[in-house]
Amino acid sequence: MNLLPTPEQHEIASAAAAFLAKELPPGSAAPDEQLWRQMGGLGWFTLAIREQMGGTGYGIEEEMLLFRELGRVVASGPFLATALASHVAAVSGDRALVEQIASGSVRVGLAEPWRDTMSVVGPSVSGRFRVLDGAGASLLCVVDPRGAALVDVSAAEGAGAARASFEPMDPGTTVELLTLPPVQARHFVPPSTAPIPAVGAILVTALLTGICEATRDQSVGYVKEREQFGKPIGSFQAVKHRCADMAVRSEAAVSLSTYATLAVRGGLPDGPQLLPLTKALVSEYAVASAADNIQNHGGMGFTAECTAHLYLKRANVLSTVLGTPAQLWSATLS
Amino acid sequence: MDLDVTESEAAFRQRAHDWLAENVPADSYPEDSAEARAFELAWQRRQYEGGWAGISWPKEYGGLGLSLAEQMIWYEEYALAGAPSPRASFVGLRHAGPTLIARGNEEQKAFHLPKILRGEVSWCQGFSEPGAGSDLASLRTRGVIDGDELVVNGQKIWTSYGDVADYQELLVRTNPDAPKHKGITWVICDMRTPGIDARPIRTIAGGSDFCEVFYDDVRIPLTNVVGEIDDGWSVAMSTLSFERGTAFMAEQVRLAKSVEDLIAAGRAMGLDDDLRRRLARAKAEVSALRAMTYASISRATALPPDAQPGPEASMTRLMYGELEQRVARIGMDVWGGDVASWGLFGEADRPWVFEYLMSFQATIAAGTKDIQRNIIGERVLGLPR
Repeated sequence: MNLLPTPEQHEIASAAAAFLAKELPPGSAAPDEQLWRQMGGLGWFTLAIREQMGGTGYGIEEEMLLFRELGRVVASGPFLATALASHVAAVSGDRALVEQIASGSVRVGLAEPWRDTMSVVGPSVSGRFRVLDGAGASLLCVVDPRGAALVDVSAAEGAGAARASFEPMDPGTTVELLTLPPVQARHFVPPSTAPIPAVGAILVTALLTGICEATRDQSVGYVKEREQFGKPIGSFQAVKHRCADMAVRSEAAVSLSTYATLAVRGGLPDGPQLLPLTKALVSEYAVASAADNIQNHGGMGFTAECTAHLYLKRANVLSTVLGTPAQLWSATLS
Repeated sequence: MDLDVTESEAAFRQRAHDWLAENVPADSYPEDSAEARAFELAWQRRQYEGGWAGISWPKEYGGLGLSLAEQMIWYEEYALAGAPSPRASFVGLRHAGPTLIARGNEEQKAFHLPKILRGEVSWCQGFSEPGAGSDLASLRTRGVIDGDELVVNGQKIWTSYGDVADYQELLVRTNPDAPKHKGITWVICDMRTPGIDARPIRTIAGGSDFCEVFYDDVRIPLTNVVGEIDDGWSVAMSTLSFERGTAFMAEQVRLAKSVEDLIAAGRAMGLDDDLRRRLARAKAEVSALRAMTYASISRATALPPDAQPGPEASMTRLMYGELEQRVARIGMDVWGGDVASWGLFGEADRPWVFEYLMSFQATIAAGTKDIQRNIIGERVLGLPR
């Protein structure tokens, strides 16, 4: 047993971090076509897909590490839906689609049933959905505990789908509501075939873990520099202790998300139950640390100039993807 | 990264499981400290005779010389089997022993370690004083060198099982003129030496298993000094790093079991949605604590075998302490009106009220939660003092 990244995994994560620091630092707009294809060229969109299927040939562990880095820079763009779509396409044996996704030529939005108990997620998909990162998407990845489906936007439109955009709370995550008459999915993967919702939970948790780490680092950097009463504010216990709590959350999030990912991948008996608990806990941690980060920055933290608000907004949006903490807690012992 | 279990680890777990199933004492834990000491030493002796003492301690001193991963497996099986958590034997097994392994000389290790493992002796701690709690380095109990002895005068406090222990890890000030961290010595004190008076103090949990200890011209041979004279602070930091780190590997497993027991008890009595959510969250948090422990083991495995845990251990310690209190509080809410009586009207098979009251020490002992946060802030994050 070893929860630490191997040297090769460490290399993958630091190479991704270096690329993102240069090309997509916090506050950047969603990647343009060129940058998107460039990241496709790095193998990021199909990281966990076998090479025989047209993927990059790593595993869910490496994909988790990449998503942690994406979380750290609050990267905008449909990374989550794209990665999930690559899993659906690969499980469905659609190598051509995997290759299209890999190259960055297909944009994918993420759709989840939205306050609609009659929604259908299966070989045919219908109902009302919340779509995140759907701007310019030609494909929708529909996910909920019943499985994951890929729906062509053109097919949805042909069937008479209605889409309405709303002003997003998080400037980096577009939001739409989609009302979908029954439409045939291009592919559907039930959980019994492959745990795509679990992959989704792992990757969302990784993004949230990255937020825990980045907010800790941003606060620590700031409170070492910012002086009041003639000394760095990080020397005051009230501030120092808040940073210590951020460090504990971060350590807990990294350790638990790594363990849960390995448990699911390894088919351990506690994996399936642990994953929703992990997602719920890390969601709460990310929101708490993002809030503390704003507090640590004082008045600056309340301005849109400081990037602290981006972490708070992203953490809040991601904590509602694939189940809110309250929903996940309630479901655990029901 | 992997959760792979080697064949030898799997076999070790099975053997541990089987042995514990046969050997865990059925009798309940005695309330009286002297009886508690005897009970624990007898159980320790049984573990030694069964070949299960000192899992990760060096072989030359009676240990098994196995890895921290195997130590963790033992603790997991130990908690699952409902074996008693060390109280009177805690200091010997979890910090004096590891400190001697890391910092003691050959004679000290050869004399003391086998006695601890064989269940012949119990240890207590002599660190805190009435005027030196969180500010431990301001301790004033004096140790004056006289020939080949150290003459000790002063007072220690919060010494658990001090009235029944055989040895003590004792911090004394040997140089009052040096800066406060530079004049302290860590010494092994035989509790039967004339001039020692240990008086039990009653706690909020009803027991009186911790003491104040008075020293009146207590003469300790200089050969009992661990490390160098005046270098005791660094030895004490190594002791505390064990107390904050590996000592809690076992406790977090026990806590995870408490949460499962509470879920079962709560289900039997009926849970509302609020309690259901709090219990689910506690379940997630004990899993996080376990994962943090595994991450610590992964880091420690990459270091030399006698390295001590780093300041990161304070993160596990802080999380453990606060979580233990939250779980204890949830337990009180699960049991509801039953908690007016210590014995929950005979309903519970474990005394939850006692657990709850005991949990208040979890954020005080081994450095208060405020001190842990200072350590995390200053030594892990590098924030200014």
